[in-house]
Amino acid sequence: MKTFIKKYHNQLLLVLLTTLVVFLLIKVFTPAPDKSELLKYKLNELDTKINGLKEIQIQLDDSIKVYKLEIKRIDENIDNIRSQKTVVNNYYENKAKEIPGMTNKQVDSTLRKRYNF
Amino acid sequence: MKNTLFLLFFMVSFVSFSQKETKIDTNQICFPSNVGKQILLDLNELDRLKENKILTDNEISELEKKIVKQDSVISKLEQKDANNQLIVKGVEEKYKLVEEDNKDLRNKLKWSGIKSSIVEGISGLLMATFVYIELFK
Repeated sequence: MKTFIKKYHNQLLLVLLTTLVVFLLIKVFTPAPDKSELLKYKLNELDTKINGLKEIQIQLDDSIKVYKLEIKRIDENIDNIRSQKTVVNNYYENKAKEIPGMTNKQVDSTLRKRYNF
Repeated sequence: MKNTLFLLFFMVSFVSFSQKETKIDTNQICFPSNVGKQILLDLNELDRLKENKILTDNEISELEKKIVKQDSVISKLEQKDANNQLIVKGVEEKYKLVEEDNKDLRNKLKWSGIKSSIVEGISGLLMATFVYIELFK
């Protein structure tokens, strides 16, 4: 074996070097798989999904705006009812203050008017 | 005869007198004026409460409508929140993909440097071999 190596060491070295060079050349010139198209596709898919969601968000915002306007209108109605209540209460309070000072005739006529007799 | 007639007249007048009675009208009642005023006060209170009841019923109905609308707003806001979470997730995924791509590109750049060194090395080696062969053989 030793004699074989001593005898053919140059050839062996050449074979080894050639193998190494070939291996390195294959490794160097093998093109890496191009991921950019897949990435682009994935990013586009995500963008489409996100844009779809944003559209839904805009629609939801519009619905919320409509609901808020309706709530505002209802609040106005409630305020109106409350002010009507105040007016009614004031009216009947004033009427209640007038009753003790009424004459008998006024009491009589009020009752007649109310019950039509 | 005269006495009999007188007696008869007297009896008739007595009977007619005894038939006289005070009639009470049950269709009408009478009460003191302060009771009348109290009745008017009570009626006034009744009217006030009746009108207040109508208005309060309307107010309750409006408040119920408001609750329904507010529930709808809450539901829409919850939907928005869920969508926002999905958008954040999507953006994070995009960021992750771009980050991975950047990493790949950095590796490619590093590898291309190594490749050029290898090519340069091989070229040098080949040149040295050629020179060796030309000069010493």
